[in-house]
Parts: sequence; C-alpha cells; structure tokens
Amino acid sequence: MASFDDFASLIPGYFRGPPALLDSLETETSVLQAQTVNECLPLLNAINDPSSSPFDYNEFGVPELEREKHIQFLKANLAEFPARFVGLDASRPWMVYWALLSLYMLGEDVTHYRSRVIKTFSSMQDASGGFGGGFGHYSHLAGTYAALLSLALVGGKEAYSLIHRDQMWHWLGRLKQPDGGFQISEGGEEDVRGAYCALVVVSLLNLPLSLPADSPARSAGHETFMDGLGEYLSRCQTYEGGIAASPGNEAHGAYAFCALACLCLYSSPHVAMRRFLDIDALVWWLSSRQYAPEGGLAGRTNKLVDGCYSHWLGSCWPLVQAAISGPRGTNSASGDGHVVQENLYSSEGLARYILCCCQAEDGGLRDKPSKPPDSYHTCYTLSGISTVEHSHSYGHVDDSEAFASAFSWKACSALIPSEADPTKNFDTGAHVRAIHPVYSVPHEAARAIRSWALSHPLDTEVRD
Amino acid sequence: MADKTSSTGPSRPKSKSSKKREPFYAVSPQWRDVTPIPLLDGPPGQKDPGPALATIAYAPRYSEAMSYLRAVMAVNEFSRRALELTEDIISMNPAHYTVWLYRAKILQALWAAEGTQTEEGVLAELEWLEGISERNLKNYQIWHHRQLLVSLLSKLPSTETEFLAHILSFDSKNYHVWTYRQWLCRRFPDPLLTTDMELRAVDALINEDVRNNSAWNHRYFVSFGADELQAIESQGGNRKEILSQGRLVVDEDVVEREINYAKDHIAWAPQNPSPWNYLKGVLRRAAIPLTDMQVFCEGFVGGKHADLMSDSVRSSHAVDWLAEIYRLDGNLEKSKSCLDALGKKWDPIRRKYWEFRAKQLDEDLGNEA
Repeated sequence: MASFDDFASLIPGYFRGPPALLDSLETETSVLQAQTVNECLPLLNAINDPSSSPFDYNEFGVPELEREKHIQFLKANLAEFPARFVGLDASRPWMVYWALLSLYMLGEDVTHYRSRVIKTFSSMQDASGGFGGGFGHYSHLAGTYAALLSLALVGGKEAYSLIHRDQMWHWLGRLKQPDGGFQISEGGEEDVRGAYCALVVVSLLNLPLSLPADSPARSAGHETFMDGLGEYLSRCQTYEGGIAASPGNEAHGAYAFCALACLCLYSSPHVAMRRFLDIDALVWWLSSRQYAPEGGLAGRTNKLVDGCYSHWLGSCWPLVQAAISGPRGTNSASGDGHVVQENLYSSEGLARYILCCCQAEDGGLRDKPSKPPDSYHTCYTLSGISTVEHSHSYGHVDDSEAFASAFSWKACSALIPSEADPTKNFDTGAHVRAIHPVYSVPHEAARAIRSWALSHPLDTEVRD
Repeated sequence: MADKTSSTGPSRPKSKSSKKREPFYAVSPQWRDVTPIPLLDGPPGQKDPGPALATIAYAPRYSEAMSYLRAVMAVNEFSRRALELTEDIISMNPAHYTVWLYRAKILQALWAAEGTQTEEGVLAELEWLEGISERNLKNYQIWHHRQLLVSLLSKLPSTETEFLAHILSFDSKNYHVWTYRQWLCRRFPDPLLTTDMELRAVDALINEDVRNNSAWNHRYFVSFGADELQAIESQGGNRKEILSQGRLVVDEDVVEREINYAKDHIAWAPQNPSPWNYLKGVLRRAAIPLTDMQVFCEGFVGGKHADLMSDSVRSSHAVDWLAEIYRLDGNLEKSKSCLDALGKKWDPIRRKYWEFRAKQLDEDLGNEA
C-alpha cells in the first residue's frame, strides 16, 4: 500500500495528532477542546483510514468539494422552510444573501433570481428608510446589509432602484451616535456590526457623507458619517490585540472583521489601520486564532474552532496583509497586479479544516463535524476557501475621494507552497470564485451598484 | 418552546395546544376593532415571478399574531393588549427583534399613562424576563431589552449580580451576557467598580475554569479597562494614540496585585493563553517593559540556557515572550532561535507568522546598520 504512505506524507505531522504541549489540568474548556480535536482528527486523516478509497482525495490528502450536493442544499435553503424554523423569521434577508453568495462562489449564475429577490425584499423595506427582517419589521442594519448585498448580487437597475436612498440616508443619520459608532436599529444595540454595515450602505449607494440635520451624532459636533468613527473603532481594540463588539468587550473574530472592513472603507487600509490600531498586536491575536491539528479558526481565545470563522477571521487576513504591504506598486507588490506576498497564516490548514471537517454528507457545510449544516456556515466556509485560493490587493488612490480605495481591490489566484513539501503547490481542488474582501459580493457586483448610484446622485443641496 | 405564563394579563392563550391550533385574535372580543394586516410578499399588482425566497410555512397561530402586530404597530398603539401580543409572539419567536423594541416602547408609554413608577415597572418586567433569558441564552434581543430597562433605574437592582452569576452558570463565556455586564459596570460604577464585588465574582469564575477568557477580559475591564476608556474618551478618543503616549495613570498597587494574580494562574496551566494575554495587557498599560519578565518566562522553558527544542519547554507562550524579550535586549540571535523553535516544534501551524517575526528582526538589524 505504498500509495497510502505517499499521500499521507503530504499531510504535515501537526495535522495528524494532538498538539505538542498540553497542560494536565482539566477544566471545562480543555475537555471541550479535547473532544473537538478528537472529532476532527479522523476526518483530517481520513485518507489513512483503510476503509476509504484514495481516489476520493487529492495528492495532499484533501477530499473534493462536493459542489453538486452543496448547490442542491443551497437551493433547498432558498425554498420554503417548515414552521419550526420560525426563529429565522427576522433573518430572512440573511438566508437569501448566504445562499445567493454561496451559489455564486460555487460558480452558479444567480442573476436569474433577480425578480424573486426583488419580490422578496420589496415588502421588507420600511417607509422611513432601511430594510427590516420581514414585512412590518423595524429596519435593521444587518437586514439592510443582507438585502442590499442580495440586490447587488442579482444586479440590474430594477433591483437597485427598489431602494429608497433618500429615506435610507435619513435613517442612517438617526443611527449614527455621538460616540462615533452606529446603532443597529433605532433604539437597538450599538456595536461594530452597525458601523461596518452603515459604511457598506453609504458607499455602495453613494449616499451623501454629511449627516442629516436630525442625527443624534450632531450633538457631539459630528458632521459626517465618518466623524469619530475611526476613534470609536480604535476603542474596540482590546488588550489582547483583537477587536470587540464595543469598547470594553472581549476580542472576537466576527467583530474584528466588521471593524477592519469598516476601516478599509474609512480610507486606504494602510492609512486607517496604522492610524487607529496597534497592528503588531492585532496580527499576533489573529495568528493565535488558528490551532493545530484542527487547522480551522476559533473566534476568541480558548474557544473552539468553528467553520464560520473561516470568513470572519479568514477574511481579516487579506485586509491586514494588504495594509502591511501597502497599495499595489509599493513595497513587495509588483506592478502587474500580482502581489508577491506570503500569507501570515496557514491557508493550507484552513482549507484542510473546511474540506475535511465541514462538509456534511448530504450537502451543505457546518461549524464542526458534530453540528448540522446550514446556509450561514456554508456561505462562510466557502468564503474561507475563496480567501485561501486568491490573493487580494488594493490600488494607490487619493483618499480625499471617499471610498476610492474600496473600489480599487483586485483578486488573482494564489500560489500556496505545500507545508509538507514547499517544492509543490498545495491545491485545494475546490476552485471557488473570488469575492470582494470588504463587501463580500463579487467585485463586479459592488462596482455595478456603485456606478449606478454615481450616475443617479441624490440631491444633496438642501441638506448641507 | 415551553409556554411560561406570567402576570401581565388574564386573556392570553393558556395551553400549548390552543396556541398551536386555533385562531385566537380573530375570535377575541378584545381585538374585535382591529383589522389585521396579512403578510405581504412582493409588490402588489405585478406579474408574479414565482415564490419569494427563503420563506417559512408559518404556523397559523404565528401568522395571525403577526398580522395583528402589524396592525397595532402601524398606528403606534401602546396598550395593554399590544403588550400581551408582544409576549405571545416572543413566546413563539424570541429572536424577533422588532417585537422586543416595540415592547420597550409600549412599556414606557404604559407606565406614563397608568402612573406606574419607572422603577416598579422595570422590576416587574425584569421578573418576567428572567424565565425567558434562561431558555434563550444566545439571543441579542433579550440582553439589549434588559439593558434598556436597567438604564432607566437610578441604582443597581440588588439581585442583578446574582442573576448574572446564575445565567453564566449555563454558559460561562456567553458574549451577550458579558457585554451587558460591562455596560452595567459603566452604568453603575458604584458599587460595581468602587467595591470588590466584580473582582470576587470574576475570581470565582477563573478559579472554576482558568481558561475562561471572557472572565479574564472582564477582570481587565474591572481593574483597568473602565478607567482607561474614560480617559481615552476624554483625550480625543483614539486608543492607539493615547496608549502609545503612555500618559494614562495607573494605580501601582493594583498593577502589582494583578501581575501576581496572572503569574499565579499561569503556573496552574502554563500553556493556557488567557493569563499570558492578560499579563501582557497589564504590563503594557503600566508601561512596564516585557524584559522584566525574563526570569519568569525562562522558568517555563527549562531555564536561561535550556535547549528550546527539548522537552524542558512547558509553554509556547513563554517561548513567544522570550523571543520578544531577547529582541528588546538586542540579542537577535537568541530571539531568532525562539521563533525557530516555535515554527518547528511548539506551534508549527503558525510557522508563517513566526517567520514574519524573524523577518522583522532582520529589518531591525538592517535599520541599525
């Protein structure tokens, strides 16, 4: 059985057994961690299981992405759910977005969903601006983000013009707070999700940067959506180096992405991150989120690996790495748009976790082997694969033009030297499409809605 | 979902079976004057492109309740029956943020209209909330609702910390609970930050699971973070800028106490990152150089001259710290050998990161030359 040994030798040792250092003291955390390692190890090394066929794995011991099964799973997730899923009622915008983005990443054409997407969201828009989780729900920035990105994904002026941009601008103004951040809904909680979603909306829809007259943030002297925002985000960085939901909370992967992506909208990444964050501490914390043997990412210190952080934390890497190397054409970036840069994390480990541990037998991807799949985890693990397979860079722009940097991102295929044999290139075999690292939709989709909005400017005169 | 009833009114459906099956609002005399607004899917009067996406085959009871909710929300009705309606919907779908926000508005309007003291109203609502919270630990809305309510009080409710301890006993790392707790400390610094209440509560959780990073984060917040945020906010708001200027005042007794606390707990399980991170945070805040920790760190690798690839190493974090300590001391070779040992043996999945740190050392060298 020489072939098995050949395959196995391309799985680095640290993915094949428990970590080198383990404390003997047992606590709830260490027990759960050990259980998780135990449920992952057999799957990470399934190629060495005599009952498995080596033909189901590539030369690096990684199983195929079960594209067709996942597509069927996602299509089912766009259909009707039984009554017991009522808990998702306020998250329907997300359900649509996760499934559409996943289908796009898997190579499907999602534009034929256009009229059904428009139908779905038309009753979710509130007359006073923004989208809620459903018909008659209050507007919510997370729902608005998912609705807007879904409309961008299917594209077309009929989709774009569904959005009442004037009311949207007024509503966002009411959400902007004196401390520089944003509430997620009127009277709702304030955290960095709000800040990220708000700037996504402002930039994609080309809304005026100036705050409406009735914005509560005006009481603190703020005049634009940007005022006080960078400072607010800086206060969300914690003593661990990561970024929390709001100042004083624990550093957390999902909020870290929101804060970093928001800074990448605020101005050029290298400018904004250097001004507002301790980058060395941030990189240290990001790097600490990846464990072996699992290979996947864990949202907080001493928490378990979870497939969804392949996006939340995985997508922090292209942003931070790009900020470190600076815009294309400087430092390590060469002129032809191909960034000469090695990842600062194990993209191979991440891909192994997603492909070996997150794929459910009947389609869909999951948090970890003991959890059922859903469209949320499917979307954000596929996003992780997409991140692994591409290199992202942004252009050198004039930051006095708002959002210039955000629309200068480009992606190209990444070459990943195999960790066991650097003379070979590691291949996930998945071939998932690239998405915009800040907007999490296709680059063309972000550009198209922005161009449409630029060619249909709102009348701002009365507001200044 | 269990049908937990409360004291808010006599006319809600009582049993699970009636909740599931029968129309309730349509036959209730109390709701006779309301015309429900049914679910609208898509723009009216256009050619139907096919079904809306990701729909839910709602139970008739839920659909009915939602159609009455739309009707009362459309006219901003803040009444007792509207309050009961929110409770009914929350019992079927506690993740429905709109209902919670609407409920908060109704409560305040009702208290004003009925002459209820705010404090009395808040405490009654908190009591109602208690049963729901236990069953919905991962819910943003419940904790935000609680925050809205408690923000209306002039002093900390006496049972609040006990309640938090109870809730954390189900999930000691629940992010929403800790977020709420940090808000609570800033809202009621007296007594939460002026006494050792919080510190004792956190100490109990850390002793139970020394790897509970949420508890460590709260310890930082209580010992330093709350003050730090206030100082940063009053000095322009940019944390990075203000911390790098090292202008923040610290209480040296607290610093010493916390350094010792972290060191003691590192000794329990030297591979546990939480107290290491905490210690680094305390040192940074107090502007104490990392180099002061050299002997402490060397204790976890087998001494000053230990072979970093040998089994005398008990903590990769100590090796990581030593890499930085040696760098600060100008001993770049030794620093590099730490990073090398991390990449090769103790934390190989982060090899790219350790190599990046080594490259930064080379740049240090380049800059000196």
